[in-house]
Amino acid sequence: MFLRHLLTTSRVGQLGLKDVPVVRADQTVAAAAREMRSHSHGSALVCQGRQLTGIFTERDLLKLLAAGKSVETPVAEAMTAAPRTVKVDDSLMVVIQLLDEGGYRRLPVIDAAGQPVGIVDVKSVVHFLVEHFPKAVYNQAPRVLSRAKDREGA
Amino acid sequence: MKCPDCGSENVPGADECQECGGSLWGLDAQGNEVEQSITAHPIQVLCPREPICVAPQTPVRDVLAEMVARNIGCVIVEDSAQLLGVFTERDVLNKVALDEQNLSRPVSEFMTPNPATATKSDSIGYVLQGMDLGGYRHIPIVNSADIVVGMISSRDILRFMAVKYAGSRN
Repeated sequence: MFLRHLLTTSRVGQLGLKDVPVVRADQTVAAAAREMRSHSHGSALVCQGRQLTGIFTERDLLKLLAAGKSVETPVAEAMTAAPRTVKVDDSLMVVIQLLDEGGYRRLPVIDAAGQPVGIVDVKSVVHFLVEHFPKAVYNQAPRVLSRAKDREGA
Repeated sequence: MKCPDCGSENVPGADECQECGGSLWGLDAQGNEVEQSITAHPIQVLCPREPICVAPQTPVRDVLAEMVARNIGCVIVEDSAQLLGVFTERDVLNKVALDEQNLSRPVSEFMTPNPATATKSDSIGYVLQGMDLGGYRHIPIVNSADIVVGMISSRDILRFMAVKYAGSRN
């Protein structure tokens, strides 16, 4: 299968990992949220020194607010500690299996020394597929998705 | 197009690898199978999930509770079945998070208005293009009267391609 071959031979490192915010566990959720905003990214790696200790995502932020907790709460209390990671030389098939069956939205990526180098998410894998199937994706009708319209006469 | 023997990248449609001379015959055709499939299949085959809808005046606090309870990242904001906007985890991060007063305010103040939509007969490739270009994780599916009838996520499309064409669960 062509796609299987593509996914098993392509490596995480080929995805063009994004520059994501890095925060400390003793910083506040508000500080982490500001960092995430400035990077236009929905998650932050939580590190002590150069070692990964957790991941804090916009989902964690949503849960914190829904629970009525303050954004001055330390990241340590809202993050996912010791998250599942993938290595830069893991195949995209491993990533997809974790995103699909493991239910993960994002996975921190670590290098051979175990240090975090970025995050891989559904969006980055989708972009990879779009680049590899440009005919199917870009030979679509020359329009972007339609927009919700104002109801005429309303 | 990658050579299965040596791994070098070749131009799409090449018959043999420019690096090792190995045969690439048929690889492009197999790629075409996936391409034809996502062009031919309407988004309907992914069984879009039932949308979760809230009224524009709903306080953000209540919307967040709903998103946690249902384990979803995006709700539809609509008024009398008319789509007004979507409210996502990203809106929580970008617009709500830093002022706790916002939790009591109506969701319509923080939603993304006039979101991109698709119909259930649009192809998977078309929706994929919209998601990639716009950076969206969710696309509301509307009927001919512009009423939201479903929601599709990038994860739904990824799962379809991986399971159906790459045997990722085998």
